[in-house]
Amino acid sequence: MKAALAALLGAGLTAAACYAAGALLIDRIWSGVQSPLRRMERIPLAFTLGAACLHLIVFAILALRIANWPVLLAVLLGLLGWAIRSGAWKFKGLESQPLERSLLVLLAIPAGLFSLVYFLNALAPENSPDGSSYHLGIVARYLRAGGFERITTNIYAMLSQGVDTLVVPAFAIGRHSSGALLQFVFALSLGLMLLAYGRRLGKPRVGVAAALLTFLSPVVGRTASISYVDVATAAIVFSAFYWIEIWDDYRDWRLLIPAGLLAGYSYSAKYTAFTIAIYAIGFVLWRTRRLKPVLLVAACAGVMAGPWMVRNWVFYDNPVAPLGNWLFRNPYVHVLFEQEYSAYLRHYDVTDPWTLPREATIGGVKTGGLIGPAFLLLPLGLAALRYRAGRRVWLAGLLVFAPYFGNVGTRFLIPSLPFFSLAIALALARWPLLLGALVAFHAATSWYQAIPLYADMHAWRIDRAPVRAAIRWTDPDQYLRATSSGYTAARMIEMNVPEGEQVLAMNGAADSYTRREIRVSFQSASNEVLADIVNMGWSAGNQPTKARVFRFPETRTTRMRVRQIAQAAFAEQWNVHELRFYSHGVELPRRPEWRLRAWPVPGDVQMAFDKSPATRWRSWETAAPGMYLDVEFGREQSVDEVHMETAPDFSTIRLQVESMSATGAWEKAGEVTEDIDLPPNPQARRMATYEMHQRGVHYLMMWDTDYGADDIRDDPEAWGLDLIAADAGARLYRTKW
Amino acid sequence: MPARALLAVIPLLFCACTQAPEFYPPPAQRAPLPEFRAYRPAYMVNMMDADAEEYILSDIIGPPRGKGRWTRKRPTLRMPFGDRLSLDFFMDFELLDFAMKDTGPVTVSFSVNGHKLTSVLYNQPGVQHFEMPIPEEWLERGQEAVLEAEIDKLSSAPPDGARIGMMLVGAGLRER
Repeated sequence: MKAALAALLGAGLTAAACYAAGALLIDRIWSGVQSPLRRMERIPLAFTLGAACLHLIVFAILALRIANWPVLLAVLLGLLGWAIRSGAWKFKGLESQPLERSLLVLLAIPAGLFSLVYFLNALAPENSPDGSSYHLGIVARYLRAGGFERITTNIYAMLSQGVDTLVVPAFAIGRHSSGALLQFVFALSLGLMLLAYGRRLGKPRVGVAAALLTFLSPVVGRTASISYVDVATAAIVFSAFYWIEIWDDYRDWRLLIPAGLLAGYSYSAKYTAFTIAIYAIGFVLWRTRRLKPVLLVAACAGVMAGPWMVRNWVFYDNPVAPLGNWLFRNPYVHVLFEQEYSAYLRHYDVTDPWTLPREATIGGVKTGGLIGPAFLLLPLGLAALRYRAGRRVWLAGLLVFAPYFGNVGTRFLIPSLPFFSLAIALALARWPLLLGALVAFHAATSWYQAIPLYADMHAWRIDRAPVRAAIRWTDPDQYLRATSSGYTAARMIEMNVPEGEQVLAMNGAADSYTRREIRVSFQSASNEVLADIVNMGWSAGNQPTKARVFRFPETRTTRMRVRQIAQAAFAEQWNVHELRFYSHGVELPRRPEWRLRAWPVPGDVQMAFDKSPATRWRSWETAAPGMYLDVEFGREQSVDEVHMETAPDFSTIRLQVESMSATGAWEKAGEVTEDIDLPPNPQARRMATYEMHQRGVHYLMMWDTDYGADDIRDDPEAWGLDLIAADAGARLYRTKW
Repeated sequence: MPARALLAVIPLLFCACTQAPEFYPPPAQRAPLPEFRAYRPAYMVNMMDADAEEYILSDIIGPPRGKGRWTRKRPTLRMPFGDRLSLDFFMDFELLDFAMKDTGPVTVSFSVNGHKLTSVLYNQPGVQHFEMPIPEEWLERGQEAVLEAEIDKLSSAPPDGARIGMMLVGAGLRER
C-alpha cells in the first residue's frame, strides 16, 4: 500500500509542479494584463506548458549531475510554493458557458469508467515491455548516477527523452508506477484540451465527442496506463496547435512563446512529433508573411529541442542520434542497423500496406494495439473541410500523421488521433444523434472486455482492471512474475550477477528492475559486435571457412590495401575475419609498427588482424565501392600474395589489392585468383565466449527462444560457460575465465 | 529566405564532418585455448525448465527452488535421444551443507534403464557433476532412456521436515 501511495505522491507532485510552472509562465507572459485563456483551457494548457519548462529544469539538473530525490523534491515543492504564493496556482481565466447537462452525462459516464480502468492499470506495478525496460530503466540509471550518463550501449538512451525527463522526479519519489500515472495525467489533460477546444470553436458537442473518441481509444488507454510517452506526446503536440489557434484569434505575439516552446518540446518528447514545429512555423509565416514572428516560434522551439541535440552531439557525435548515422558517422550505431530497423518499422509484419487500416482499427497484433473500429469512419471527417477549423485540424493532423509511415506501430497514430477525432466530430456536428451514436459505439467497442469480441485476442491492449495489484494487495513481485517474463529475468540477473558486471542478452529484459547493465544484442554497435562474436560460435555460416586468395607479381611497397569495388545488394556486408600478407609463401609477421586502417568502421579494424576465429571486421553497412582495409608496414616489404579469410556469405562483393607506389599513388596489384575452403575451427564456441570475456562481459543471458540458445544449453562446458541460473524461459551463464 | 535557411543548416552539416580515419597497431595475437574440449551435443533437462515435468518420472519434488528441485530417495527421469548410442549419463546436483550435517557422507548409485552404472561416495557438500559412459547395449534406438540416481541417506528439510535427498539441477545424455 505504501508503494501505491508513494507512486501517487511522485506522480501527483510532478503533475502539480508542471501545472505550477506553466501557470507561472503564463502569468509572467501576460503580467498585468488578462491572458486570453479561458478558465477551462488554462488547466491543461498550463500543465503541458509547465511540463515543457519542468523538463528543461530537470535536464539542467541531470546535466549538472545533482539529480537526487532531495534536489528534485525541492524543485517540485519550490515551483508549487511559488505558484501558490504568486496566485498563479488559482484556476482563473475567462469564463465559459457551462456544458449542457446532456453533454455532461454523455461525457462523465464513459470518461469516468475508462479513467478508473486506466488509473488502476497505471497504479499497478509496471510490466509493459518498453516501460519496464528502457523508459524507466534509463530513468533509474540516471538517478543512480545522479545525472546524465553517456550510455553508448543503448540506442534508446540516445533518443530525446523529453517526457522521461519528467518521470525522473516522479520516479525518485514514487518509483515505477509514478511514471505510468504521469502518462495518465497527460491523457486527462489531452481530453480536457479537446473539450476546451470544442468550446472555443463554439461547438461544445464537437469537443466532447473528440475528447471521447481520443481518450477511449484502446491504444490510448493502453499507453496512458504504462510508462510510454505516446499519449504525453499527443497532448504536447495538440497543445502547440492549440496555442497557435489562440494566437490566430488574438494575434498577440506573446502567444507565440508557448506555441514555440511546445512545438520544440514535441521534438524533445518524440522525434517523430517534430512535424508540429513545421506546422507552427509554416502557419505563422502564412498568416503574417513576416520573419520576426517566425523567428520567435523557431527560437522558442530551439530552446526546448536544442539541449537534446547538443547533448547527443557531445555524447554520441550525432545531434539526432540514434538516427542519421550515414551522415553523422559515429562508433555507437551501425548504419546498417538503422537501415534494417527502419525498414522493419515501416511495415512490421504487415506485408500488404492496404491492410494497415484494418490492422490499426480492429486487428491489434501485428502493429501493436488498435485505435478502435470507429476510426474506420475517418474518411467521413473529410466533410469537416467545409469549416475553417476542419481544414486546420486536417492540415495539422496530416503533418503529425506523416511520420507514421516511418513507423507503422499503432501507437505512432496517437499524436494524430486528436486531430482526426476533431475532424470526425466536426463532420458530424450537424447531426448530434449520429455523433452521439458514434461515440457510444466507440465506447462500447473500446471497453477492454469487449475488444476480444472483434479484435485479435492477442491484441496489445488493456486486458484487466487490476484492483488488487494496484493497491498492492497482491504482492508486486508475484504480480510481476505472473505478468512479465522480462521482470523475472531481470530479477534473476539482479540476484546472480555482481554489481558492476554487464550481461549480454540477445533479447531484452525489464532493465528497470535490475541495477546491472543488460546489453541487448541490437541496441548498439558494440552490442552488435558482441552478439556477432557469440553467434559465430554456433553458426557455421558466420565462421571463417573461406580464404579469398590474391596472387600477383611480387610488389615492393610500404603500404597495401584491399579495396571493395562493387556496389553490393542491400544488406550484403563485407566481412573480414583475417587479412594476411605473404611473400614467397611465408606470412609477414604482424609487427608493432604496422598501422591498420579501415573504412567504414575504422575502430574495429584490429579484429581482422588478431588471429581469432571468433572476431571479424565488418562494414556494418551495405558493401560499396571505396571501402577498404589498409596496412602501412612501416618499412618496405615484398608482397606477392594476400589471403582474406571470411565467411562464405558474400555474393556480389568484388575486391582488389592495391599497393602504394613511391609517389604515394595507389596502384592495382591484383584481384581474387582463388577461393580456398578452410576447415571449421573446433574451438569456435569457446573462442567466442573468450572474446566476449576479454571485452569485459562475463555474463550471457539467453532466452530459450533465441537463436543459438539450444546449442549453448546442450553443452555450456564446451562454450566455456557455467549455467548459474534459469527461470521463466531464460538462462544465465557466466564465462569460465 | 531559402538562402537564410541554408545558412542555418550549415552548422548542422559541420557536425557531420568526420575526422580522417585513425590508425591502429596490430592487436594481441590470439592463440588456441589450452583448456579446449570439443562440443558434444546433449539430450538433457534442467529442473528450471518450463517443460521439466514432462521428463520427471518419480521422486523429484516441484516446483523448482533456487537452481533446481528437491529429490527424494530415487529421482528418476526419462530422456529421449537420437540415433547415436555412444552416450554419457550426466547429472548435476547439489548436496547441501545442512543436509550433510544431518547425514554425513552419502553414496549415490547411478543407473540407466535399470542397469546400475556405478556408485559414488560424496564426502563434502557442494555442487557435484557426475558423468560416465553408458554401455551401448543398455540403450535401444527409438526408445527413451530411464535415468536414475539413488541416494543412500535422506535428511530433513526445513521448515516442514520433509525427507529430501539432493537438489537436482539437471541431467541427461551427452554424445561422446
